[in-house]
Amino acid sequence: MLQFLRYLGQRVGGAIATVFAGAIAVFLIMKAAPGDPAMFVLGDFATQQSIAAFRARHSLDQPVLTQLWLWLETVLAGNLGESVSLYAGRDIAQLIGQRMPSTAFLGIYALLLALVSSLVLGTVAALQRGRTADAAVTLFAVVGISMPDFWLGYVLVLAFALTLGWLPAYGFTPPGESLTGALVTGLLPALAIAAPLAAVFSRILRVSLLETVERDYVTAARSMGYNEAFIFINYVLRNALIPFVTIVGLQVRYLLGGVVVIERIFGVPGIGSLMVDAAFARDYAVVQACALTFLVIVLTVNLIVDLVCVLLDPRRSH
Amino acid sequence: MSTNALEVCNLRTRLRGPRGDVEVLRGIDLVLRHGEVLGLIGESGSGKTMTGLSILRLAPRIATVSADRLRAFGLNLLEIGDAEFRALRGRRMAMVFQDPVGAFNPAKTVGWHFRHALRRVADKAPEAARDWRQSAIRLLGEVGIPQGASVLRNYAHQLSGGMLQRALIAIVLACRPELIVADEPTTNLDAIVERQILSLFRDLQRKLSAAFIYITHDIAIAAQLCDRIAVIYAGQIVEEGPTDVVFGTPKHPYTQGLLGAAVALDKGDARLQEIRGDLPNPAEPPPGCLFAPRCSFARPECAQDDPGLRTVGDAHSARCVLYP
Repeated sequence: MLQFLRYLGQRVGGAIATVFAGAIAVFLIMKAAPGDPAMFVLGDFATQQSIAAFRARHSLDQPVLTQLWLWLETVLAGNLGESVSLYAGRDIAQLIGQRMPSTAFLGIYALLLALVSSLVLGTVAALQRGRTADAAVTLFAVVGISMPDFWLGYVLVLAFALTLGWLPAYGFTPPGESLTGALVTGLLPALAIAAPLAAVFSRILRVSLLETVERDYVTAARSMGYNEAFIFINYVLRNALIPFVTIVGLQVRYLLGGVVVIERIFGVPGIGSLMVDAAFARDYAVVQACALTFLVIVLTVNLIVDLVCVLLDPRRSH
Repeated sequence: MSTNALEVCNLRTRLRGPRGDVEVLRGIDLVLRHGEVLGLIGESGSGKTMTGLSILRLAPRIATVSADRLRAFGLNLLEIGDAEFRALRGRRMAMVFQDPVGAFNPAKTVGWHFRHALRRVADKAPEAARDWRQSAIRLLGEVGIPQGASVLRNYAHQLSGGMLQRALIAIVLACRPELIVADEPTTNLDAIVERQILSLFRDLQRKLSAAFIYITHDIAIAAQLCDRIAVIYAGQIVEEGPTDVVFGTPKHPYTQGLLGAAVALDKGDARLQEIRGDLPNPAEPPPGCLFAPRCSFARPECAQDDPGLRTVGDAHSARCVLYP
């Protein structure tokens, strides 16, 4: 237990250091981006005086390192600043807070769909190795891995919304307003994000299961006469999940990439679409805050995955 | 009631491979009496482990096993369905493995293994299954582990090979099987632990009066532990008989070579005698006697027919044309 707490402390400390380094990187990348926010906000006919005043008000006339320090100072105080152009004057933390539930809902929805379907598909493929079902899962995986998610999004809209009329083509009801509404309107976007992930996950699980079946402890379990279902769950699946969860954790960043694109396509008012809109409006502060939010999400998910791995694999906590 | 714990006749195992089938067991014949320890000896790759796995129907899925006769405890094992066969394993027959670390589920504690093994034989010992922890601690005590309670909380990776092999033996002990296949159970252990485990096996055999197949490549161990010896070469039994007879007056040139390799140093001969060459390629076995290409007594007729097992003495047989 003590070892586990020490491990937890190390990991959280590491995550905080990574957020700090990531925040600096985000700031510097945005500084290197072309375009002057003052020009963008004030328009082509702004006077020299109004530009200078704008730059002074937003500390844009200070050296870069001073700007970085000022930004970090306010961010660390929990203040992400104000939107400059997209939602001029609105508090960014508030904007992100409003949109977070939709993004979190969509991400978790997609992840659950991908996990459940890959557990089923991967298990079926491994148990039916070399037979028709295995070949069908392989085919699905190849198609799923090679399809871009935005293209799949449009295909799903075409099939289920425009042709069959079962689900809405555009728009999203945030889970705060109606959970059922969110489940229904979120299904197509979640499917578009989940399909490529499910394809990768089911391949990984299949390989992991087939490797585990060959292990000596499975033969030993069979020599004890345990029934096959018991052996599959407690010996094969249980041990195959350890590498599976590790790799799933590494794929979470692709999940977020999918969220950004898919939110735009389906008009989901989440952090992904906020980030894209802000980038088009040269609203640097908002883009920075969104990138920082994604960084915190990725690190949190990785931390959770690592802890799940430790719980699954007793060899790791010692 | 038959007097034999196990009867095996013409056991053949083929493995499907990318370049066609390979026969790894080419007609194994074995008879094991109740309470007897049969040593199955031979070099690596000769089919010792596959024999044990094939008898217990644990051969890998690429294997096809056939036999003319396979009987244990008066049952015809060839006629029994998979579910019924499974019910025999862990209750009437059990196996001890070469690598004790690999035989434990790495995600579960040693105690978990005891709990499920005891539950499996709950009808034989209901009180032991009810209080599995106490029974497990007592069983661990019997195999020389006094600190059982803490061992039960540990995972396999936290314990030594010797400790795990004892624990595995204790689990087998709990199941009280009548037939045990022990597959080189001391090969991965150091010499001191090996001796302790061997004496445990002797105790185990006395307590359970079970029939044992003890698979090993170590002739000294086989000589100490076994009542009878079967020498396996390239998936065939080449010599079989009581331990003192087989090791005292070995008849088959392969057995003589094996013993030569083991005892040459005892006789003050500084040169270790070895058997020339390697096991035949199982995909392309030589015609006739499989050992002929390596045999210093080989004659032209050896390359024609398989000599078959011939009686060479009292309960002693060898697969060689040297004996009429």
